[in-house]
Amino acid sequence: MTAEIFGKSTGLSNGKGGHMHLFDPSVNFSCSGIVGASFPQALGVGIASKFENKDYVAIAVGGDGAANQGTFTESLNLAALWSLPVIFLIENNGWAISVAKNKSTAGNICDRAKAYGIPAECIDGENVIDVYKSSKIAIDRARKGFGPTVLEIMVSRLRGHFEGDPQIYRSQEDFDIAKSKDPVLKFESYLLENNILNHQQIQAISEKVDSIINEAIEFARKSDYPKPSEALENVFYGG
Amino acid sequence: MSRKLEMYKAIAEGISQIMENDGKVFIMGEDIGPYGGIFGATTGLLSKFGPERVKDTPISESAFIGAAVGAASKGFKPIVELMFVDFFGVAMDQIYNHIAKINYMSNGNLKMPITILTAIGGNYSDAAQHSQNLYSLFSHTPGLKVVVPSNSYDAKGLVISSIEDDNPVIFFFHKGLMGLNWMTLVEESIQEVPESKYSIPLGKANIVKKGEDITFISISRMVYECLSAAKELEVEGISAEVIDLRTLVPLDTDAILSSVRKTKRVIVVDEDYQNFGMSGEIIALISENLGLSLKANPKRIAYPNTPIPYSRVLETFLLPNKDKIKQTAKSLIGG
Repeated sequence: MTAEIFGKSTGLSNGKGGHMHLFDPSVNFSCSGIVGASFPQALGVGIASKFENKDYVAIAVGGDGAANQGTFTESLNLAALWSLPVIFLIENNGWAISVAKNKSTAGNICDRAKAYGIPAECIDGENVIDVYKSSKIAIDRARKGFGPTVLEIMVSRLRGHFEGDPQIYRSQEDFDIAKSKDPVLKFESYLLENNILNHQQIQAISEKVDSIINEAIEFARKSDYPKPSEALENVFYGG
Repeated sequence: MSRKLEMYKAIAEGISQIMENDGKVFIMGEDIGPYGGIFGATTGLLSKFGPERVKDTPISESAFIGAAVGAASKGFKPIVELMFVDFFGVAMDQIYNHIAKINYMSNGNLKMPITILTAIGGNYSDAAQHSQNLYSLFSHTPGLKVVVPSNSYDAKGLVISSIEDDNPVIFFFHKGLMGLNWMTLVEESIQEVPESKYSIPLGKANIVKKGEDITFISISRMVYECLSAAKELEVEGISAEVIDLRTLVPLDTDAILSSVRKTKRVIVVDEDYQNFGMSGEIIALISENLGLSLKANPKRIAYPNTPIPYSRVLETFLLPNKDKIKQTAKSLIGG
């Protein structure tokens, strides 16, 4: 993935997809540069799961901004109608690029799900365990054939919409509040307070994560770029 | 065994024969169940394969065409029908940003074997939002194959090839060629169709009439206008060759160039809008390869860049037809 973001030949797609279009079928992951495009596609994975009589579940991730796309409501309707094993995971960080949620979004996103008879839960994203528990309930429901769930996870936006975003539309206070709500730091405190992990163990995990990331970046940097003429390949499958 | 069959029945038969053999194929769309498709292309499929594999959908084109992407990513071969090509605007993102590009963006790791069926064409007073052809719009987009059959024999063989293809294919059937008793009809589009399963390769044009003096290149319903013009010109001593392209992507450039190399005169006839479309593309191909060897400037007769009007007299005035083709051919040969 890192090599793909660097546009290298060792990347997931030989540098053709890039940071917004990552595809890794080996782990059933794909993404799109188009806001709200994931919702309908998850329906198809849900249809496939039912056809195959298997218990895999599709998870469509979008933001509060994406929930204002027509694809969201079209997909809620179809997922409920066909009782598809799909989870609509809305990461609600209160911003659609520079437009605040109170200037773009009427009502509550969870209430939209209820209109289609889909169970929905609004979860505090600061709390990792709450997110885990609610996700498990939703996934189990889907696996048992009870259809879709909407999980709206309330989070704070810790960085800009893109790297380099000047974020002139946000107040300093808003940044400070966001930083105080970082779920990773909060979970770290929880683990320490409850004596699940000690400082040394947390330090070790942190170093391990850093080393994985550094290794990936090193690998990406050292990799070759694709041959320019490969730009013409794979417009069609097998071509 | 073979018998005369209308195009709508030929398409449904082709789909049915594939679905019998390949459990990964299923179909979704509006009114494709008990109704059998507004233009009949899914006639009989529901009773044969049941509602799981023949899914009537809500009027949510982004949702069900996007669903085809997800199902294809899990190894299925979805067919979707979107009634009229005029309606594609509501689902274009899933088509031109996802279905067309995912194979490329994933470097061939995630293929999209999706077939999209849709109806095209005017000449029956359905006006600006129900009469367009628009196949050139999709031919312009890299990653989509474009199939536009002119008769029932081709339609069955081409729909089978389209579904079996590992790439996304948009299959455009002309309403006026389907053989429906409530629609205008071109009798010659109803041809002998074998009962057995057969395929016609995508990218292979059909030379429907041999000729020496001029080549008419066309697709779909306009093939018949070309043929009628060619028959009348024959009486006047002008021998016209008529090519039915069958598919725009892939385009049979060999068939086009070898015919025009022989006749040295060409008219491209297109029911789709003229500007930046099929007719311009084919004339560019001919000009780049044969330009100075031609005996006359290449010509095109296409739908002018005008929305399609309702009143019959207005629409007829704008549509390409036999007389316009004859007149242009005579001016090229006489001049």
